[in-house]
Amino acid sequence: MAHDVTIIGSGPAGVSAAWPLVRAGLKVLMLDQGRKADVPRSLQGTFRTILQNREDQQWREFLGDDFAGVGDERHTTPKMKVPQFRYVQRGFEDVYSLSANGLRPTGSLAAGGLSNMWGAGAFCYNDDDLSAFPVNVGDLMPSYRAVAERIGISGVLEDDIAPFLGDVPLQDPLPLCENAQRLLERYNQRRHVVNKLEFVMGRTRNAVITKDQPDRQACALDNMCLWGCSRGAIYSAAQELESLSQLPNFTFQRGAFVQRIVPQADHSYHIECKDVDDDASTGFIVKSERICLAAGTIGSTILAMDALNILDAPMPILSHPAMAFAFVLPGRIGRPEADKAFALGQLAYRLGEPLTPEHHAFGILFSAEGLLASELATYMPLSRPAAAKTIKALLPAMILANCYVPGIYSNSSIKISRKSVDRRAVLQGGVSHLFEARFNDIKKTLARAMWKMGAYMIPGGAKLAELGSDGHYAGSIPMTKEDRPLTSTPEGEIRGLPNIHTVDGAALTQLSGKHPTFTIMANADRISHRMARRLREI
Amino acid sequence: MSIHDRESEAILCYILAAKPSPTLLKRYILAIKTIDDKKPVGLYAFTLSWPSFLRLFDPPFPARSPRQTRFQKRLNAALTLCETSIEGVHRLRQQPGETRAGILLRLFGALLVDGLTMPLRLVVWKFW
Repeated sequence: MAHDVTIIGSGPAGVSAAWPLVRAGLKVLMLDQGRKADVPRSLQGTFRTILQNREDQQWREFLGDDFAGVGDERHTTPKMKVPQFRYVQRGFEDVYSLSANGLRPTGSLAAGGLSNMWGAGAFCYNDDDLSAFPVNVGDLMPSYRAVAERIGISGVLEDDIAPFLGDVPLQDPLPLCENAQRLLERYNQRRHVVNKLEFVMGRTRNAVITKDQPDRQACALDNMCLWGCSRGAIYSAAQELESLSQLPNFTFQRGAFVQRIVPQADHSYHIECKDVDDDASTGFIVKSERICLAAGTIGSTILAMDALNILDAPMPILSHPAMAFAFVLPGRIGRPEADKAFALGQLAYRLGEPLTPEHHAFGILFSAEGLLASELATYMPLSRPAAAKTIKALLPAMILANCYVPGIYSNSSIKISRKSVDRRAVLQGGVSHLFEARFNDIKKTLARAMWKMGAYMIPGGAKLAELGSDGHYAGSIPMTKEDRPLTSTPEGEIRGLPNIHTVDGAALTQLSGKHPTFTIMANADRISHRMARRLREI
Repeated sequence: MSIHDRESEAILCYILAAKPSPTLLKRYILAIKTIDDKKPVGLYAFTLSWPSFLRLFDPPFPARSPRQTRFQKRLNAALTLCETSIEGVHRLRQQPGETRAGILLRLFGALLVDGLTMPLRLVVWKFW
């Protein structure tokens, strides 16, 4: 065995687990299918200049040569239709023989995983968020800081929402769009009124750099964030694979999709791999004594359940019940669209529940100007020409919000069913019976808080998102202190599978309302630091 | 021109309020063949000659029949293709030199027409 540790998966968790091990001088092998982007950005410029392209080629950029972006699919994030991102999730369900009912499975075979198309929100869990975890903020904070330094996060430390998002090193904030700027000004003027609604707001945190780095350029405000940042300003784990691969004790093996992990009598594991993009590939075996499982929550759970032989038994998996809202600032209707802007999150807000703080809702406010207007126009109960004219006037005045409630409101499961020799994974999605009331409550309170700040919810502008479409899956191999089936120790070691540590979302004990990626990365960093220390002592 | 192509031209004409270029029409037909079946919607002959009348058939609420579903899907595709074309982008996005008053006036006119035709559209939506 040539390597000390084998990491399965090259997404944010895998990369975050790799750094401490590699820096400790250990030999690390990373296995992943590692697909590369197959549709490069064809046009350069800002969103508006590309949309006005004189060569009439903008449709290729926004819809793809196969017109897949024209599809009528609703209730998914707009990124799912973006031509440049389609390779990220392609074939994921097939390779795991995965079927789903009531939710959308998300995962990736791409190098860098889902971080190639994430929303870049980077928020720390606080003590309320971690109340069910066997670790606390103090355990995670050094890792939060290390990851923040590594990936670059922009934001501010001095506003109302900042204490809720964590104290980590930040780069200068990105400039706000006109609508967000107005909302924030009104919030600051009327804070005493909206805070009574348990509504707190401030600038969001984005894993987007505002200072040039050797391998990444600072955000140029070209408003193309949703369509693939050509400057690398938005963090992706794929960017770090290049830096890691330059180190002599790190090996990244592409074309190595892990199909099974088979425990051996000598306490090692046989990792069965195959290049799923090569029909001629017959597969190969990698032998390893120590494994970091970072294949994404769904992938890691399937591998662990298979290795533990947990068959035909549904096991809980958490996802984020999510919703989306559209607001308008009347004074901005018909105003000019901005030429330069940042299209991801502008402001973050928290809707609290005073008696049970872990039940809070959390969301991000976005500008609508980086989206295709036709996508929004199709939701309007107007004739299409009238909807087109309406959206043209409304777009500069619109602000969109998403909102997540904690994973305790989800009621989903994952199961491996055995049919003859084949094994199939089945995801069953659902939400708690309390969710509908919570959704109505959030809708009402958010509309009221925004109204106090001069923004009005558009009639019919509240939608439930398809469960799982944001990719926030977690908690299927949760870290717990007590010994239960399909759980892991506080060090992420899966019970029943010695020396296999789960370091991705599967290890999270609970899913707070906040986006989990940054916490997943920090937890992976924490677990692998401990692993490195222990291996150095041996 | 096949009936499918004539319908495509009428739908684009309805969205653009002008005759589409052969390039855009070809692109739209190709897109429809890629994302949808190749069946015609079954639009009335007079709407192919006077596409403005398609407003009466434009479903104000979720489609109630397979025909309405197909029509709605094609209208949405036409809207997206118009926005991503040089000849149709002005229908959905502001252009240099456009004034706020002009945009609001055209919006008022479109909403007025929609309001006046709504009773007829509701009847068509229920029975077509």
